[in-house]
Amino acid sequence: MANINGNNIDDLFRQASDKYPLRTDSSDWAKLSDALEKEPSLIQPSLSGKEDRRRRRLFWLFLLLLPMAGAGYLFWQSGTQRPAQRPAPTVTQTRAQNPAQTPAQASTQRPSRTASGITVPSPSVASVAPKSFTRGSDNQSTTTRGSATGRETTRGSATRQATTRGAATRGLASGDLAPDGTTSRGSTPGLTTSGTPGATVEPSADPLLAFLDVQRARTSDGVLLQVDVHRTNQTAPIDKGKTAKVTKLQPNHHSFYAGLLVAPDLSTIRFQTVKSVGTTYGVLLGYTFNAKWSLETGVYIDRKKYFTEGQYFNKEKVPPLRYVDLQKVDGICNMVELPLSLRYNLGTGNKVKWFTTAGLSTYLMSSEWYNYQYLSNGNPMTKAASYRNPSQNWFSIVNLSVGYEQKLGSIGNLRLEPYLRVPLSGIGTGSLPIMSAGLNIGITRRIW
Amino acid sequence: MEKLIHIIEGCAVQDRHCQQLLYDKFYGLCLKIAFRYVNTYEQAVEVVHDGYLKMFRNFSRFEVRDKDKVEMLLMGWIRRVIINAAIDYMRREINNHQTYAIPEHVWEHGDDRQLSDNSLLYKELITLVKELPPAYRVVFNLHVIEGYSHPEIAKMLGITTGTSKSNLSKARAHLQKALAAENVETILWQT
Repeated sequence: MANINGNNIDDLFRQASDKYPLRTDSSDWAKLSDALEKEPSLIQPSLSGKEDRRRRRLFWLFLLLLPMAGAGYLFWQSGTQRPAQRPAPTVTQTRAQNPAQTPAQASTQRPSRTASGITVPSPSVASVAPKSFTRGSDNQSTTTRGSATGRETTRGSATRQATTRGAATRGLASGDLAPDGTTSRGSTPGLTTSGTPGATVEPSADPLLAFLDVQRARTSDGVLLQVDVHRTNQTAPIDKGKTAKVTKLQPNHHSFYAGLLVAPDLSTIRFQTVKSVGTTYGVLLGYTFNAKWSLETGVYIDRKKYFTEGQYFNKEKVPPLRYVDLQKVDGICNMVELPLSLRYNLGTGNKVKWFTTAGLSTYLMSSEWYNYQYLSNGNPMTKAASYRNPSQNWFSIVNLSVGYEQKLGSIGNLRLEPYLRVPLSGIGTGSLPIMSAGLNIGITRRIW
Repeated sequence: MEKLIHIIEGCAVQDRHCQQLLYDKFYGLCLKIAFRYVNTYEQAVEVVHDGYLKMFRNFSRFEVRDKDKVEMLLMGWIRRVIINAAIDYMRREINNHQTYAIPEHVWEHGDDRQLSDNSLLYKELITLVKELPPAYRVVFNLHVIEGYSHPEIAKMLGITTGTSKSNLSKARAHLQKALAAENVETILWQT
């Protein structure tokens, strides 16, 4: 016994464990094969590089769609505004008995209303319009393009709008056209139009339009034609002593606005499967610096649901998991999100705005719940665990979005905003890079 | 080496032929590992079956990072899976304190001349290990033969490090006592 120590015994048994003569002819592949057929692999082979690349391509394509949609809208808008930049038809007016009318009145740029009462926005419209308008016996001649005398008014935009607005041109009877191409209207006595056969002339019930002596005409396919209008027995008296002022409206862009948003939230970790949909809702606050730039913040309550393979879950904060083979993790987390973003208006229409935002978000995690699937001693097991106030991630999430805003009258603005949140660091107990995408739907309203 | 890599790749995509090749290649190794832990030969066969089942169902997790060491890495992984399967089996049989005599038919019976004296000695030593109480046996196997540390064993078995050390100490004491009875001087001289 004196010669035996621990090391001797250990070495002896190590040798014995490898070389002891155990019978090994009991293998039964058929039985194992049958078992494998009955219970196929729980774990699918990892995604091939090709499929992985395809999934990433789709994601980036989706991401590119957002700015492309914005760019497309801008392009479309510039395309529709182009005709207005072309040399506009001029209106020459001769008003024999209108001494009080000033050039400014004559060029009361664009009408603020059309015949049917539809408001035509004209941010730089003169604020003066005649209070009364009577048509007397004065001879008045209005021609488009090239009148030798009188004042000239450039109103291409107004003309275009009038032509494209169905409501404004409704009520015209094509039968009013005279065989020689002129139109004589009972409602506007003495009004004659010379131009391309088939053209129609809209009678304008609006005194302002009449005051401008501009007649809109269009062919059956809506193309604006040059029209010579001769008026007889019409007068456009203006109150004597009144001087017209051209005042450009300067909207005050400095304002605060607030809104309520709700969004379905899709969270993924390294482009893995999205198994269920989370939610985001909260309050948005914004400050507008000017027509283009705004600063936005708010408080959102997020509930994110995500799934990950075990390899992406950092087990450092969960000691019991360190020595097991973590397979899959399903997670749900509740958090308060504090975004801080800059907003840039890509385009602004009458009632529509297209915008993009970029900024950083803070996640204040309030609770997490995880369902772990792991192998313990080769045996598949599951365990659920929840954590309170596990982590705070200050300004560690990049916020990107492109949005659309539609005016809804007195209610405010409807806001639709696809967003993407890209984490700069691991989030939560498992330090998971939770990437989120969704669609903010909400109402915003100017508050101050 | 290339053949082994081919087998591994085949197993990762659930190719039955490759799985069979792997099964046949390492069956003996797995059975010898399992037999040291569980009580009977039949139980060892069952453990190996369970172990292979888990292995094949999770084979995509095995990654070949260094082709030069692929065989060593694969054997290490297989060993770990079988040990885990054996421990799991022992947990299920934890209330079974019955001791079993090892029947002679489980041993390899070749030509008597082919079996060296060492083989007979190793057979005796493994028999001694299997006569240990399960709690001592598993710690002895894990620490002395497999090389796990006490904290690792504690985590694997769900016991404290102190318990692991205590069980090892008692296992060694049992074995020394048994070796003394088996004429240790002769054994050591043979080795």
